Amino acid sequence: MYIIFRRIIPFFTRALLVCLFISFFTTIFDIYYSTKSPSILNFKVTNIKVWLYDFEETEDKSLREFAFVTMDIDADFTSLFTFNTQAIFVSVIVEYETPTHKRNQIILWSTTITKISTSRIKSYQTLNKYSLYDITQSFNGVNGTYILEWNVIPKVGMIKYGRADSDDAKFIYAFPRINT
Amino acid sequence: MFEEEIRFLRKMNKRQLAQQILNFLMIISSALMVWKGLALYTNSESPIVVVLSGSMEPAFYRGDLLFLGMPDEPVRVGDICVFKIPGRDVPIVHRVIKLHDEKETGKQYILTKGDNNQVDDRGLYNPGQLWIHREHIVGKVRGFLPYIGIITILMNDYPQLKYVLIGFLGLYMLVNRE
Repeated sequence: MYIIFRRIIPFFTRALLVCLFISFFTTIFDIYYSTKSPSILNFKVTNIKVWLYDFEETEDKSLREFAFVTMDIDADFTSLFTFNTQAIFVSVIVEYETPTHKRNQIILWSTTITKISTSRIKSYQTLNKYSLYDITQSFNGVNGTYILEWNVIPKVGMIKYGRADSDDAKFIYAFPRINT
Repeated sequence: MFEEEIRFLRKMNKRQLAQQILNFLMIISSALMVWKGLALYTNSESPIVVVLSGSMEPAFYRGDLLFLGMPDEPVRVGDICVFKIPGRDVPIVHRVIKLHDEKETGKQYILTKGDNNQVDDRGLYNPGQLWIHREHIVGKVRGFLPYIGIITILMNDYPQLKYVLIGFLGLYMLVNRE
């Protein structure tokens, strides 16, 4: 009984120590690799249409503007893959400002890369994956900035959040107004 | 099996027994201190959580350990956050997919969704609740350690295991001679 404990406890202590060292070194590697960013070859919004639909989430089911965005995405995330990459979550977000809300951010499209062989995203004339509507009834024709973002999940270590900051990776497109 | 240990306990006088118990309490309190210190450092009420469901696959699997931190800046879209719905005990780890900051009050309206789920989290919120707010957020996921939390999941699935383990450890501490 006593002997078993004597053997098990140092084993677990050592295992925990090894885990700590692995996470420490992978974090150092991550800091080095985090300077890399994907190459965005083509990213643009080609068309936006806005339609009025019943908003099913609220009780009164009032009419609300839903936007349908068509976009071209061509980006290569190969440079972000290291031995310590489990998955890369890539998303397209739209950012805009309205008179009542200072900052509005919505994810409208996303994909998850788990293999280096699929790390090139080529998606032309894609529609938004998730429904795009404002917190108020209408977008009021404001300008939306479309940005590519990514999120690297490691096998062990720190999680990295990144976004395309250069101007050619952003795209500004106004929400069309509905003629009534 | 325990004869030797029981004989050992009988042999101890009151002071020795008290010292053993105090040692045991000291270990428990230092564990609590580390936990609370970490909570203060990260500004998050529970700085380490275990993933209990597969709703964030392929990023997080059941049994992965997550380290949280509470950022000073407001929550951003795309952040993986841990949040608690009022009236429910189990925190949820999901990604922020919609976010609206109200201009006058600065209040954040947040909608979350699990990467592996087909629909957003409105079905998980309280009935009629469309958004969660900053005060529901426990922390933003910063670090990641796989598999370690599987012990917690085993203890959650088989509660008897928890008592057996705690009882065993307690007994071991009591009869452990330095």
